[in-house]
Amino acid sequence: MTDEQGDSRGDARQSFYAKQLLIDSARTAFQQLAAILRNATLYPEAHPQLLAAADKLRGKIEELLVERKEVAFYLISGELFFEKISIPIEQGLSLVLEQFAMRDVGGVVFMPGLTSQELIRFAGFMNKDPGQLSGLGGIRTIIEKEGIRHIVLHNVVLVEKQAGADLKAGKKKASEVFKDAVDTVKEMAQVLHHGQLSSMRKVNSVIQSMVDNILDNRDALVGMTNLKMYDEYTFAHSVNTSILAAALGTFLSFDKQQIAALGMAALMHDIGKVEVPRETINKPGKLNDEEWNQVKRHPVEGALLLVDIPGVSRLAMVAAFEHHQHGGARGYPQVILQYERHPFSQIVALADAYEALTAARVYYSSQMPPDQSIRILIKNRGITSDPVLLKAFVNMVGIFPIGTLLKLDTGEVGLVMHQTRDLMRPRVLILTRFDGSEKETGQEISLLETTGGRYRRSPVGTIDPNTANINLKQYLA
Amino acid sequence: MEKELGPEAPLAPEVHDVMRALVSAFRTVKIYPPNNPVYSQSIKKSFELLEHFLTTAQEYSIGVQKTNFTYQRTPIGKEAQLNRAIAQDLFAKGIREIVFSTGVTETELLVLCQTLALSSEDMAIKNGISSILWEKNAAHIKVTEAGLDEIITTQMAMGLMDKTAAGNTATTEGPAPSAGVKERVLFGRTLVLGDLKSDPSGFAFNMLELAKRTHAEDESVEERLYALYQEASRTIEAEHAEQGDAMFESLGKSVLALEPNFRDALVAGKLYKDLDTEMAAEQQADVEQQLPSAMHEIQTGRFSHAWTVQQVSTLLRKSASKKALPSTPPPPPDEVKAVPLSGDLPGMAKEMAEYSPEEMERLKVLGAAGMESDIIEAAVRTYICLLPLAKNPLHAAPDEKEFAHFASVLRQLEDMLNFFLSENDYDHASVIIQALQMPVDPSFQPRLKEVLKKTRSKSVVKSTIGELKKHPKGSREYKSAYAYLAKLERETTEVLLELMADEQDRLARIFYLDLLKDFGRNQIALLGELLTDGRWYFVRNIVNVLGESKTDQALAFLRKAAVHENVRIRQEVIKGLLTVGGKRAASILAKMMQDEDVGVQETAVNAYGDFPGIGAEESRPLIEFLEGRSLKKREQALTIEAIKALGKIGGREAADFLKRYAIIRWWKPRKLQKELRVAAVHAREEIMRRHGDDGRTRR
Repeated sequence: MTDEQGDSRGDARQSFYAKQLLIDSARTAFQQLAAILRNATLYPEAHPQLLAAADKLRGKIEELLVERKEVAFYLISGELFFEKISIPIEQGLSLVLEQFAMRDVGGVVFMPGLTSQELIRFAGFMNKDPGQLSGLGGIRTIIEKEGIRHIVLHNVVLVEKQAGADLKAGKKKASEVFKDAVDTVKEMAQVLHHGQLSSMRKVNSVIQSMVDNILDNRDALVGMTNLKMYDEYTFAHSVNTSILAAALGTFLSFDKQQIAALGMAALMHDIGKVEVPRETINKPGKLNDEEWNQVKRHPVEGALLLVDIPGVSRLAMVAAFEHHQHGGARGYPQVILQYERHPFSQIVALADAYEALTAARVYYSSQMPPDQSIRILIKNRGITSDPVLLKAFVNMVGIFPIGTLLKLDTGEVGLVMHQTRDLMRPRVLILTRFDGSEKETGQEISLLETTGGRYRRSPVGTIDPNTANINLKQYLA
Repeated sequence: MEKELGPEAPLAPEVHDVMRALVSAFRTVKIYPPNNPVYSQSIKKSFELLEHFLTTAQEYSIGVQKTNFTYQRTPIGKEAQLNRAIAQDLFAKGIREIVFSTGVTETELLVLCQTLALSSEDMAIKNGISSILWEKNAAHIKVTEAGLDEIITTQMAMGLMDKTAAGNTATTEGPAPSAGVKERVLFGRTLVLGDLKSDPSGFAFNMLELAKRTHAEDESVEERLYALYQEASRTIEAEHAEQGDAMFESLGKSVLALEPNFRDALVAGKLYKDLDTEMAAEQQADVEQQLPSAMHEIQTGRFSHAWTVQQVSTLLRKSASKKALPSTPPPPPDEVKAVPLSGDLPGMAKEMAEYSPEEMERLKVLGAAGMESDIIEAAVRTYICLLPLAKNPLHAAPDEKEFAHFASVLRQLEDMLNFFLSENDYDHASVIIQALQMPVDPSFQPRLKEVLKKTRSKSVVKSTIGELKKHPKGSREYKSAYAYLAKLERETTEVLLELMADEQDRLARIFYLDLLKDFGRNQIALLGELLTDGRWYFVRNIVNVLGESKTDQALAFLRKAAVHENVRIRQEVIKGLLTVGGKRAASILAKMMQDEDVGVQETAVNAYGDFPGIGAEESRPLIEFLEGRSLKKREQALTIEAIKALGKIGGREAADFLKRYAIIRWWKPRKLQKELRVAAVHAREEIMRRHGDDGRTRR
């Protein structure tokens, strides 16, 4: 399940700012629920302390119900979700999540009309021994029988199965979308190189598919960017940059049109390179200064190419021109006007830089851990990237990006499949055979899972897939 | 796309009903306005029928043919004439199929009908119906458009095919090896160089076959092929060094003769990768200094796979020194070596996860990016930056493509300028006008001048002046429009003069005159040119502005105007000279005292007496004027005025001159002489008063 801001096809319903407020509200509500559960073990039902706590939570739920039909919390593998949004919680509350998991509760839904009494009684049942509860038919059955009508519980299997099904479907579609996008870039480059005007409708169609896919399941498509297929890397780079930029756009709660424009701008950002003389770009050796200047002209050439192409947002031209114009002296092209780059150009530049760093890991003889890319970006923030955008980007892509191999303190090896709200604790697929078979049969766990309030697994190191001879494509494509 | 029309198969009545209703809805939305009841009823009815149909079926698809619709390839619709027109329209717009799936809403249906009603041009502007439906979230309706899967023109496709054919002589069947090639293709690891030089494509074929037959289980054909070419390269280096160049050239040709996918995988996927890995090791430090690195920029620019023999040969030579590492199975999990996590990572993660209030504010602002206003602003800025960059500095002179690019950018700027002017957004319009005046390559100048001329049209200036009138002076809108006009000073001056000439309303004329005084200050030459205009009131206004400018350049033109045939203009010149002041202006005024028109003489004389910036030294013309006066009644008043004026500016010489009026001659008119004497006495007294303190008192 992704921390997404809207339904799969709809617009972002709220700004990033509003989403953060919602996360805060939801977290507070869950903390209050935890407080009731705790208080219910200490006080009888009519105790003022318990009543006060229940009133507080009821008030919070009513606040949340103003804009929705129900208030739904889901608990998946140690991670708390409010609707589809992942909610960061302190480690201390993980005991509460365990409490729910032990009682086979995967989802708690509060309906309009909820009373404080219902909350208190629910807390009372939740504090009963799990064995005792299952003997009575399970907590869901009990609260139904007891007439607690405004709290609905879902079991764990159903919730995890649905999430799993969504993820699998998303992954398959992601690889198709990715391939389609790479093929489209190839065709477009050919056409533009020969001075033909390309039809942008197909490119638009590809971008729209990409946006839909990211809105459905961002991690699947972002995961594809980690496969650095070298023979197609030139084309894949544009697609990777587009995916990362569009993904950041969804993370920032842009609406569909904004995300599509951003994705298009990122896809076209290097198109000016088709104008670099072939003998220069394909030179089988180091370029001299004059040749490098030819390459450095590509933002100008790209922008000039895009000036006249119908069906392309002007932002594509702007981003193509500005994406190397960071504040440092090494930025280019140098111009007389002083201005702050358009935010989309900054996002494209950030995605481009990240892509370059993660690609570079493939070639260096010394191992560069995946978090090193993030570290370098952080070191250069304010120069090559807006600090706030960088922060959002890191939150989106994670300290351990999808496709990172982690060594766990249990001795296991985990492949990062999804980010959670805790950047140090993603969801990983446990690898045992390294032959790709774990994709279908392997165990995917969240590093947020706890037992007795302590994390079950923690990362202790990163593994270079090349050195370990592990083919990531088996898992991510 | 459906192609054939088969015989009409029996379809359920419900299918026909839905089709009929839908086609009717398409037609109705096109013809009627939204507030017409027929419009909404048509949508409602068609939606009800469609929704009912979809309760038992997954989807309802309409195929669009040239003159009719189909359902699952069966022609449909008994009302052929009605359907024909609509089918033709949709077909012409490139629509080939419309599929409704379960869950479609009435809103989505309405969106579809409205979109289908758009003209082809409007659809094209919005990137086609699929894009429009996507943007409006009509997720349960899918439209297949003609040519959507095409990105390359037919000609291009042919060209590509030709190229491929030319570059690839090794098809899956393979060319017959030429006579004389020792065909000792063995299984296993024996490599046959054969007659590489005479038949590189045959060699390529053999290599590929060998790779296909001898690759290991965990090794791809491409990897094996690479290994074989590496071996070949090493063999050439070791055993045929003296023919190295020629052999590598042939080896390069053989690589280029491979089937495209193997060729690309080998060259792009292996040979260039080796090169990049080598360069990456040398440029590791650059990674952190420049993001992205120079190497990455080059890597991601290799769009073209049209490599030369020389390039491939060089790469093959380099690859000779590379050792292919045997692929090894991955170790068990507990043996996999890991790089320990750095201790500062949790802190870094924590810092990244929290947003300060300032950062949240910044994110709020960023969230609004991509709206029309900031797109336009950024686009204009980019166009302006592109203007001087359209010519590649590495070229001696611009080529045809660069001219075309420059013209495109200019065209966009023109369009933007017109847009801003239509919106009365003079701030942005000013930016563009300013940009159009920047220096560009001389070859581009003529084109730029053309555009500049268009941007300076009188109609634009007039409407801006009109806009200026609407807002109070000092307001933001006033300043903005004013600043824009200031960039078009010459044109503004011309237009203001015209407006003033035609304006009946006095207040409006004053408004224009005020503006003219500002704008005309730097347009003296233009004003001078216009002095020959036939309209006296037009010229009078110019003279007024010239005077207000108080410049030496204006004086030259005032001198010319001082002899204008129209007396009103000459009068205006005197006012102007008075405004300018000084000795040079006084000299012009002095001549006007001899004007043929008495009125002008009077005005000149009076003005001379009050003229700023002159002293006793300049009183000579008045003395000369008086010397020429005769003692006649009709000249008396002016003579007296001249005496008074002399009194105001004269010195000792003037005082001595005035003594003559003290003498009364009996043979001349006594009364007149007495009047002159009185005037002269007063004038002398004034002079004495002024110069009596030995000149300490100055005018």
